[in-house]
Amino acid sequence: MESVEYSKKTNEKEVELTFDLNGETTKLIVPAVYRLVDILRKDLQLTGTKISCEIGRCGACSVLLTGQVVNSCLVMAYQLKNSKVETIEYISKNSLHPIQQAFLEEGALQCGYCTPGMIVALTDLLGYNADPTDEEVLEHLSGNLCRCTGYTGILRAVRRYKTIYTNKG
Amino acid sequence: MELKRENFGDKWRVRPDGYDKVTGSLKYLTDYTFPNMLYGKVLRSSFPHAKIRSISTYEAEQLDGVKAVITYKDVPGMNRFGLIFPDQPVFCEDVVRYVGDAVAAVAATSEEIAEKALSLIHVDYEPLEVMDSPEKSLSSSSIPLHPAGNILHRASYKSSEQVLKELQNCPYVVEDTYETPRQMHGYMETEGGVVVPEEGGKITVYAATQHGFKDRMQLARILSIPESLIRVISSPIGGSFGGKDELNIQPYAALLAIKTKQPVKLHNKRSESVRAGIKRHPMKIKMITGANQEGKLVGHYVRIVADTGAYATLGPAVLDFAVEHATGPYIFPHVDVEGVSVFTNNGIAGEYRGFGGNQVTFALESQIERLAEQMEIDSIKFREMNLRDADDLGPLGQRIVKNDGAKSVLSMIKNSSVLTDSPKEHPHKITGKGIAITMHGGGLGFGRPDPSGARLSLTNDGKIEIAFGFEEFGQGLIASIEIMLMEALNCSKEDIKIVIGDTDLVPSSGSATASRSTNMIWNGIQKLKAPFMEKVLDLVADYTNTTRDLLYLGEKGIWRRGKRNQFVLSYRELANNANPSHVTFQTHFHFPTTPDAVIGGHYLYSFAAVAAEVEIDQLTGKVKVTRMDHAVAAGPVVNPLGYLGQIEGGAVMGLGFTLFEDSVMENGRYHTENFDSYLLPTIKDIPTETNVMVDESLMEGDIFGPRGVGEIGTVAIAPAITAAIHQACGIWVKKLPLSSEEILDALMDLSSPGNEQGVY
Amino acid sequence: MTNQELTQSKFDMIVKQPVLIEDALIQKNDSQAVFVGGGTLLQLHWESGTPLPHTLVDLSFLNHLKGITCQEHGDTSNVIIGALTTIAECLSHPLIVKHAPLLVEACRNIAAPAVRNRATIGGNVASLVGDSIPALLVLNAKVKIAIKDDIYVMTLWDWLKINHQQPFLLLEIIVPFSVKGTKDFYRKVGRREAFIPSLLSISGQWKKDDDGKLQFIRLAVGGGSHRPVRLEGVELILKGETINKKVLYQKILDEFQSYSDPFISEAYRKKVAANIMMAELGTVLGEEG
Repeated sequence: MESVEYSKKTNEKEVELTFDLNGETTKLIVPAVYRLVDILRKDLQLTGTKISCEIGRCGACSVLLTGQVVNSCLVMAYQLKNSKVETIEYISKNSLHPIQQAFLEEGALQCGYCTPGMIVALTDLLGYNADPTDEEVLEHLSGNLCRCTGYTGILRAVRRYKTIYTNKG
Repeated sequence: MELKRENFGDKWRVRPDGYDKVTGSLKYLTDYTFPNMLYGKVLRSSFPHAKIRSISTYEAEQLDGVKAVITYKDVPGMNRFGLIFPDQPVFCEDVVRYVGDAVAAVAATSEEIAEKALSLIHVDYEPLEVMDSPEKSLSSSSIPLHPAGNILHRASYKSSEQVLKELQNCPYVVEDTYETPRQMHGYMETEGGVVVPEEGGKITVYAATQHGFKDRMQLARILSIPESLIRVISSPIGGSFGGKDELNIQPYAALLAIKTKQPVKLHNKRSESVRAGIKRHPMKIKMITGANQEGKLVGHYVRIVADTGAYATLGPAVLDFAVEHATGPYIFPHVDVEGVSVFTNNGIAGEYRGFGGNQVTFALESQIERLAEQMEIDSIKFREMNLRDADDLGPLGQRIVKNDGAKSVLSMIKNSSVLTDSPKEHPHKITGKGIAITMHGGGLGFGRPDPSGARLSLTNDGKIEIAFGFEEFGQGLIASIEIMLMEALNCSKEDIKIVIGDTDLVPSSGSATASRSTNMIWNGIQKLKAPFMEKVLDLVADYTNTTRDLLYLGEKGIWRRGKRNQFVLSYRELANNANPSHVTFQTHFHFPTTPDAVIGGHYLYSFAAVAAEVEIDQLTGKVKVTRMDHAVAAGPVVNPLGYLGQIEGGAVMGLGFTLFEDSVMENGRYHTENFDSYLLPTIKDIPTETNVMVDESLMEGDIFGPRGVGEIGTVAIAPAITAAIHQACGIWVKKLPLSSEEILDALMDLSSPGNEQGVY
Repeated sequence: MTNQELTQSKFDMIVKQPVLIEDALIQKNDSQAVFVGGGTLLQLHWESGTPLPHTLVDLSFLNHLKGITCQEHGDTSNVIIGALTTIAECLSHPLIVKHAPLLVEACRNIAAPAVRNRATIGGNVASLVGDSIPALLVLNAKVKIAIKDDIYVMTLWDWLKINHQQPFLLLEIIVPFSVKGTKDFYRKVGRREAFIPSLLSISGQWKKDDDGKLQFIRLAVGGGSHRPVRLEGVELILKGETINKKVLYQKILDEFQSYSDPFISEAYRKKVAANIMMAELGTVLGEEG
């Protein structure tokens, strides 16, 4: 197999991208290094995913890539070929995920700008570990910054989630 | 009482804007796009201080996709902005004073093209010496940064001419200088928005601010158009903390939109936000504080130097606030406080949650702890001996609302388990506990325009609409309005429509700052509920031929008292049959001020106390805050989740201020350009167990309602942490953010003989 | 800076995706080309103003760089980790968890979950300053590198000492199984508790035989912009007959060449490195006097 050049030297510096976005096959033509966060926010008007630091340090742009949390500001278009992306919009597509409900009930959000990222990160964690310890939650959210809540409300919400939704004390 | 769900019943409720936030469906102003929209970028100064010899935009204009390139020549009105003194150029003409100063702006069909265009604008600078500290700016060889020189503002309060003399006679004196960092607001949503040109020469400005009407005024002045042509839509906002009150990208978006006749979007990258945005005032505070043999405070001598950066913004008010709060909740017979706010080329310092209170409280509470140490008495006892009484005058000798909050928070914090529990032990770690208290004035202070307003009406489609000129930036404003209105009218939340953040639709309520909005909302509702209810009941009584006295407002509509209460008429039906203008009530009032003409003096105060436990690593000198409790006295808790969130969130902001936040600058340039080097607290940096205790009581005759708690949660954090550090290892931290190196060196000096070179 | 460099747009970048190592190396020969694993570090640098390359050579189609296996040869068994293995995978893969738990500890301290799901161990090592390196050094790891037409296997320590003039491609990291009875530690120090470029990453591994003599000891320090180093002078002292703690402490300070930046001084880094090392070596020191 020859090596594939994802852009041509003349005027095309673009990729023809096909990937699964929120359960639907999506086709786009974008520059090879165009960021996933820009695909979502600019090209597809999915503004639930936020943009804040652009260097992967804050988690506001978190999405699920093959079910795992990643910073969409650090994923380039050419890396998305045939992959599966889920955004915050998908998580609450039909109804609120119980962690979202818990966030509402425990004041785990104020301005709300970090919230989609927090929910995405927690969806990842709770997907493979429905009863995480405090330590595991702290570790898993260590890449999501929040400036409003001081994180205390978020921890309250996770504890509530565990109490109510997993029937553990 | 502990602020938790069990104690607040229905008031602990899901916030009305919560659902959209948690699902990501809420559109923030930086999420907006419009058809035909262009992207704007601002060219910011390459130097912290320089003359501009020439600006050439020709090459940029030729770039494909560029629709407009503007400079100071394109400003039709006043080329200046600033909340009080408009001294900051929209576009610099002949001199740049900080690295965020704007020199030109571009609108293009994509962000990439706009960026590229910026690189094609050629500015010829003649660098000037950088005034990189207040000392330098005040030295004989300084360059004046403004026509009136390098002093922006002086403020002082002196209650006696004998202060130094009295201090000389004190058996117990502590003299030292404290330094605080250039903290960054760090809101997760950066500055940004869209300006859309509308018909008839109007523009709609979709951009965050904490005072829509003020933005409108400033923009009208810059654009030289009447305010009536400008509509500012300013909510929802992804965090502000005082950082988005001043104008930021709005003038550029507006000028470009008017020139291109297309919507123009600007959204700062984080690095642009760091470069151009305002910061907290770094302050150097010298204090000489003395007590007599009996343990009574005698004198307090304070000299404050604030680095205000390149432009005024709210520098003077911050200094005034710091001067006022330099004595805290204590009684000092002899006070001499002076402050000076100095222009430098170090960015711009301005409004930031706490507003000067954080800096002086750190210094003051440290002094108190150190005096207690000298006297060998417990510092809580020392405080109790010197605390103000409920009816004492305020810190500037002005009459203030009677308030026993200081005693209350001190006695609440004494009972905190943080102080009584045994800390967890770990190898190579030592622990300590400490407390601090503070007093914080709400509102803008005497002599400052501090007006407010509200409007309550019945809409055509049967909603009870309440409107305020405030903005929601996370603080829970909308939730508080909902709770207060539901309580006042007994209606359900579905009956209510809340309107904020749109200058075309709301009355002026003043700014959403200075811990004032909760109080202003409460006031507005108190004033409007009676006339509104009366009118509604009159109309219903008439329309349904029911005895007026039996009617009352309730859920979904008006009800009639009886053996079984009966539903009479829905709000919707009433709306269908009534003339809406008859059911519209508006009120204007002013934030309560002291009767004494003391400029800047506050009237309504809140109190808070903090207990902190720290763990210090003896190998690295690093400090971790393992527990923190809070006690707050700010009147009734209107919105428990909101109140709790402000205290908890404020605490972590204060923790960052103490432990590792600093926008490090050198020669007027930032070393900390993004979140990889400017360190915000992560979830692993916080104490995971915190309790908030509240005292909701108000004294008899206090008709002023609930106080705001938006700021106070940040204030007493630093000194509580440093007091705990002192207990752990005997070191006094006087400079923030603390230095692990300093602590490590001190620990190593203290360790056992024969082991001078290591803690092992 | 010329206008040319200033105006290099991200969208002018070309991405090449070789499937053969030789092709990858040829494509990298162009000085304006860089290898890309996950791309997390690269994009961070771009945002901070590092000049943009003209070509990205995407390594994700090179099968040789994928997967984790082991090679068992009696006493000298190794875990072979493909360079494209993500840091997250290193944290949870059973072979690494079982046979190189020190590497798991190091990886736990790198960045945060979302970055760990993308960043590769190869990228971390190839940066020459990654936080996994001190752990790999004390584990006595080897690296398999492709340079021009040849493939080399050498210890990570030897490789770090080379002046890397020619383009190289890191293929694998070969980690010997951690033997029963070894003691080790890894500690990362940063200016806050999580997600922080380290100020200091320190690691050590040693084993004593039954009569208390040190069979081997390896100590390494890195972090921040340091190229990590083995403190061989310190190791020598520890293997000696008697150990003077003062001398040892001073040797650590002397051997660890550090640097100051706007946030942390050199003196602090050295002191902390020495303190941590002395504390962690407690058992080694205690029994030696």
